Amino acid sequence: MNKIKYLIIIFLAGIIPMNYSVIEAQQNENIVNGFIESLELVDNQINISVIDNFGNRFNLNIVNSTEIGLETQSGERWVGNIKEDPNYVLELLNEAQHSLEPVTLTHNGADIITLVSYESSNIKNNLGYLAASFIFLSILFFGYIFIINNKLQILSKKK
Amino acid sequence: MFSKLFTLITFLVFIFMLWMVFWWIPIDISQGPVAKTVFIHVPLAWCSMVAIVLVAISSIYYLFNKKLFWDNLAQSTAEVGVLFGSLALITGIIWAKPIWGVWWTGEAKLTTTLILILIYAAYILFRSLYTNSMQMKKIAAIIAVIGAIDSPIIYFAANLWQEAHPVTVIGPLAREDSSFGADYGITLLVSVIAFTMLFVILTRLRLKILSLEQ
Repeated sequence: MNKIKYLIIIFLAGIIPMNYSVIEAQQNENIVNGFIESLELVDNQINISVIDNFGNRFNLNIVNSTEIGLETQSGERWVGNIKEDPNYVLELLNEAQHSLEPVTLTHNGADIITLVSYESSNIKNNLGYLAASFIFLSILFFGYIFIINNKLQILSKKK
Repeated sequence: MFSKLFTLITFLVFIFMLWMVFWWIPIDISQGPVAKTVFIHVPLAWCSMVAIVLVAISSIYYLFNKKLFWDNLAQSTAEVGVLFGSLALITGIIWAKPIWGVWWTGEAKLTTTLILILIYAAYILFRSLYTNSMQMKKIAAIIAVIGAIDSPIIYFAANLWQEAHPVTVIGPLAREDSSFGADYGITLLVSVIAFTMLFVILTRLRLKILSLEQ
């Protein structure tokens, strides 16, 4: 019982600060996965309308602080913000709109915080994440089975 | 004899499930290999929900008839349920990074699941820190029943709030338009069976330890 108690304490000590700090940092952010419906450049700011997978429309602004990561037609990834070249960003977003490229963005209700396009190269090579899931699963399961099996053996010997 | 046979069958079902996941079904065209996380994430979440329902039912039974078996069953299922729930959360976090671009969002399904795990982790800690008195068992049973209120909220969360988390694929709320293709559906069914069998084995082992301790 003691081993399990200590394991839980270690687990909680690790997971609580990690998760709460992440939730805290993102509590005013919302995520939208969808497609670009329309774009408009007004006073060095891009007004964008995005429709998500459930048909909800979001009218948001791309401002100077928005972090953008978009794939160009040549397959390269452009990372930056509209301060650098608003017309080039508009051009990339137009390409994404016309090729119906899905985008993922985080926003605070009015302004977009991050906007990224479908990262096809990463999507195809995300095997590492699947492996990580199975490794975590194996470690925790075998660890737990080892602990309770040990305990069972000790108790059986005592009996 | 029966338990050894059951363990052997579980082992074989797991091998079959792994074969289906890694060799039989094709790689998802939009999400890539990480989409296969669903075959461990969904069964783990399913088992943790079953565990919480069992904890609540056995705690209610214990409060009414004071039989030690129900208290032991509640304790064992809570412990195994926390293990399965934590793993469901971890595998979900690992899947979210390449698909959503973030490890964690404060959306309803994720937050309520974290709350549930914390409630039951607190329940286990409470049980281990205090003596095996009747009073402690009663308080623990009440904590378990109150904690179980969170489980229907988790189940309905994806359909109610419709945020980034995919909609429910198991149970009465599973929408037809969210259903998988036949091969993904069969593999998911096999993995749910495999994990449920493992859940039964682990709970039974824990129950045995508790009865030996007493």
